Amino acid sequence: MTLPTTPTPEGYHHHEWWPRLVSFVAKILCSAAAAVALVMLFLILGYMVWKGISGLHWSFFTHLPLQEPMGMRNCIVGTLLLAGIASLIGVPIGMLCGIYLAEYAPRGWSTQGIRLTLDVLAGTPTILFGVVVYQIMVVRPQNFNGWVGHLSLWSHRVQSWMGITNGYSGWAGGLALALIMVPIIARTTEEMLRMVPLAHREASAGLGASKAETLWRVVIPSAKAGIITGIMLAIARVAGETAPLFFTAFGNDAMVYNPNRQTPSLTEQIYNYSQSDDPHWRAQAWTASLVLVSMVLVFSAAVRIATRKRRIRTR
Amino acid sequence: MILADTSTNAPQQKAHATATQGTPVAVTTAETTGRQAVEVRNLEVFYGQHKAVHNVSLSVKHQEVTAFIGPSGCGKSTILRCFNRMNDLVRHCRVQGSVKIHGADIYARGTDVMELRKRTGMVFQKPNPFPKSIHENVAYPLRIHGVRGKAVIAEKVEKSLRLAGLWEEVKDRLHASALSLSGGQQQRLCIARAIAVDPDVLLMDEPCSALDPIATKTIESLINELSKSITIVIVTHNMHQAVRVAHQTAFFYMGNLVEAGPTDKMFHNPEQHQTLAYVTGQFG
Ligand SMILES: Nc1ncnc2c1ncn2[C@@H]1O[C@H](COP(=O)(O)OP(=O)(O)OP(=O)(O)O)[C@@H](O)[C@H]1O
Ligand SMILES: [Mg+2]
Repeated sequence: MTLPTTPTPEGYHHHEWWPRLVSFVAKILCSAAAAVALVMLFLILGYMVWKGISGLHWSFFTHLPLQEPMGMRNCIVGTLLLAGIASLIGVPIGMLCGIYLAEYAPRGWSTQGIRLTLDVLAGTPTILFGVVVYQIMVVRPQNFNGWVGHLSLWSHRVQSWMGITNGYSGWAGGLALALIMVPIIARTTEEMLRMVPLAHREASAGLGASKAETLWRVVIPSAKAGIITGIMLAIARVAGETAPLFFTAFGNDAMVYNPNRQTPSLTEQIYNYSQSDDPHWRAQAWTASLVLVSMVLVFSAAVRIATRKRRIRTR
Repeated sequence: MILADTSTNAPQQKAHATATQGTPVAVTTAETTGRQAVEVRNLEVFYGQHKAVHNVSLSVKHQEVTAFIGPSGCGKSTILRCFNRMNDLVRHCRVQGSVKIHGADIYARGTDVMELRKRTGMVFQKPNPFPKSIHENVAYPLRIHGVRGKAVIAEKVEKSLRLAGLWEEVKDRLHASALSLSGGQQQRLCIARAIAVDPDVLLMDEPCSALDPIATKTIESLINELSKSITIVIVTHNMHQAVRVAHQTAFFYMGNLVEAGPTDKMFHNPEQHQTLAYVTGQFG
């Protein structure tokens, strides 16, 4: 009886050559693509920093556009105000919508339809949301024909009742941004909740927890990190929106704390100033871009740090 | 011959001897005859059109360990999950017949399923601690069942962890993540969690199948210990385990109950040839 021969060290080198070539080429292609993407990103960011940093004086944060030296204090506050209103409306609605889809919606074509609609809305050019809010909140209804007319009429009645201006306002801008947030947050929330393993739900149910208790005490806490990331992405996204604000918040050169007034924003100001003939104004646009990107960056980092600390404490 | 077949392995045989020493099977059975914790009558379970359990009637004796054995897919888990109505969570699952726990028909209208599940704990095949701290895992059932007060909860958590034989290993890191524990420790944590609210019945679905022999032994002695105060139903694929821990054994085949009786009898002198063939490893 012969023992099976053990492979000799040389035996391992008798590979066919092409699998190694394929994997080598794949590796090169992937690395090259990653390198191109990174280089582009850093070129854009670097160009922005280079162009914007010269205008970055203290007065940028303390002065208004028509003062000398110019500043954009009102735009920074306006962006925060608009993103804040949008979050207050969009985050709870989006989350509840996602929770409904993941946990309560019946299986079937109707739910599938809602999901598809949300996906389409998440990919819709955002100017549409601006136009819609413009129709229902900003323009005075001229005629009351058709459902848009009725919607507009009712919206104006509700606005008057709530003490919200009919016309360009921070509320209208915030609502437009909130509408952009809802589909993004709803779909990420749903996906994150679906990723929570069935074993956790069964463990909780098996201990006598109701569906609601399981949801709020086990499922949502497990999905929390992912949901928060989704919300942050949505907020960062709307902080950079320009087009829908033209129809809704419009803009303002004055300091605005009251969302009943036309509300300025960094993005809208960037657009306006970058169209200018005055190189000084164009430089201001770059500085505003730099500030906006930094704000989003600082905000994301802060939320991440805050939630990470929370997680260590509770675990 | 059968004897040799069920305990050919020397260490296993030794474990058998030590584990059954403290629980005289025959005596316990005689004493508690007539006190049924679970009574199943004409149970039929359907998954959609597929009938998974055929007309099963059996009873589980109070404060004893009952093992469910049988080949994969024969419906052991399905029956076990009827005892705390976990099957309610499965779409298209339909249950017919009656299941009584301590005399109350749990499928009757108006049954409080949350209360039922509180009193009928369940341990799953794969350890499934929540991604929370060790303390929070055991505190969870207490909290949802209305236990309030830090001190009260801490005390009950300690008691459950002690009962589950985990206290000494985790007392210094109660606030570490439960996921940092080993598989066997996680499973004991799940047992501690299940017994925290003092259930009358504990359902265990292959609780050791993901564990190594040493962790398995720990859990088996834990089952022996717990059975003094709790009725335990355990699904197992391990014949030796059934012999070691169970007073009663029920053998299922293709959704039918073939035979049930004292473990000794089931393994050494069963009435059905199918049972004999299964416990001696001739099919399954
Ligand atoms: N959720 C489900 N949906 C549909 N059919 C199911 C479901 N769960 C179990 N079944 C079917 O019911 C039958 C019994 O399954 P069950 O899980 O009770 O078997 P088991 O005896 O526990 O098997 P195992 O030893 O492999 O765990 C099988 O035919 C299985 O396919
Ligand atoms: Mg099973």
